[in-house]
Amino acid sequence: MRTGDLLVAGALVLLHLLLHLGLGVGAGVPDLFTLAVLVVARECHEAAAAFFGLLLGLLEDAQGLLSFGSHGLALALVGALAARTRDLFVGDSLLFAASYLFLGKLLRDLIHWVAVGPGGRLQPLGGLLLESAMAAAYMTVVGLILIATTGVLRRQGAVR
Amino acid sequence: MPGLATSDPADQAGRSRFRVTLGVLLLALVLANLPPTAQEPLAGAIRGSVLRPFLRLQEVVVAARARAVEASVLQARVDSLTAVAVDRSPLAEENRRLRGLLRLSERVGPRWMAVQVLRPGTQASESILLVDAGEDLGLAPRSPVITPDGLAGVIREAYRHYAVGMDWSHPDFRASAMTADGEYYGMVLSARGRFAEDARMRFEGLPYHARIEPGTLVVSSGLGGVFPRGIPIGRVGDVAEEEPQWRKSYWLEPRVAVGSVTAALVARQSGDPLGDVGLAWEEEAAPASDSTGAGVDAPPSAGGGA
Repeated sequence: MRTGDLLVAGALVLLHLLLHLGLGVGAGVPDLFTLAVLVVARECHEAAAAFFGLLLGLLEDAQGLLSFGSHGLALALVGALAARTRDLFVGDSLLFAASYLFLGKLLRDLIHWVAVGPGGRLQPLGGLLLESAMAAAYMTVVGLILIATTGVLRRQGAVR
Repeated sequence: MPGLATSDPADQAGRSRFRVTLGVLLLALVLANLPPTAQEPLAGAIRGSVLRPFLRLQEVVVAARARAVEASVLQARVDSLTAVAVDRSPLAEENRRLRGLLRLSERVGPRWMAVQVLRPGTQASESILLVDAGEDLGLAPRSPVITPDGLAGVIREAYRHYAVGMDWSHPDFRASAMTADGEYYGMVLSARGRFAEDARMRFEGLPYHARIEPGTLVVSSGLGGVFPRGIPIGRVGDVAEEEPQWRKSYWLEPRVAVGSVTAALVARQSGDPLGDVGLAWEEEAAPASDSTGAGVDAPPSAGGGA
């Protein structure tokens, strides 16, 4: 895994914690944890991506009082599946990157929605999809800016 | 067979990674399904370690926001109280005047009627006042206009529902007056300055040998039949003019600031002359002189006089 991508992923994690938790910005800041997992997953194998996703998910879970582990499971699964996409899709176009980020975020929210169970769900599936699609679009835009500025996701790493 | 004995290292590594991945996912699944009693210590440990700096930052930010909100709330309260205080200032002043007028009205008797004083406000109508009562309520020309501070003016023309008068700053204003001790008699008239605010009075027609101390109260003397005896007019100031061996006049600082008169008492006309009203101010003056030390000189009560 390239050091630059690792630094970008670390910065995303720090920014997420700083803005969401430290400053309480809320929905004004996109889901940078998912973006970090998706960035890392394209550069390392699925076990490492899943573990990274699990760690970040547990950080997210620790901030809430209910459904501990649901974010961990969602991000671990997304990390594993995102890492598998390297074997299925080889591309570094912006269209591929946008689709990858958008679907990754959508999938992460969907898995979390399933994992929390009926008792912990804050909204029905329709509402979730609408809200999640908007959040995914926002995260995709930020991800594309990140790609343009740092070059992450443009080249696949050597680690398999 | 060598092919069966040694498998491809890449496949072995792939299988190994797959098993690790499955292990991680299994771990995530287990963590998600732990009982809450087991999950809470985990969450607490994460909050107390990795998330601790960010939670501290959040506390600081929340406290700063609360302080900002408190400051804005306090500022709004200060603004509101200031606005209330400013609004109440004229109200309190008017209340004070009306209370004074009410007390005076009780002392001077039923011949005196409370009226509202209006000022036309044009340059040509300086020193003119309008009162909201007229002939229908018994007002007539030459009715005196008084306030709790003293003599304000006199009615010149009375109409059916209103009357027009002049205050003491009018050039035609004249009042027969005397010192409060009744020793010296003279005539008070208006002396206009360069500005309306400069207007004051002159106490004229005094004998040349008259020696009146500055600050002596001058009241209406009751002579001339317009103003009853005892209404405070002003306080003696410096000597205004002297004609050796003949006569002397003094400046008089008026008691009534005509610009601030909004309510007054006006005497109704009837066949009987107005009696001495000096006692009305004498009662008011007593506690004032006790409390302040300066006091207001009380005009003499009836008796004597010219």
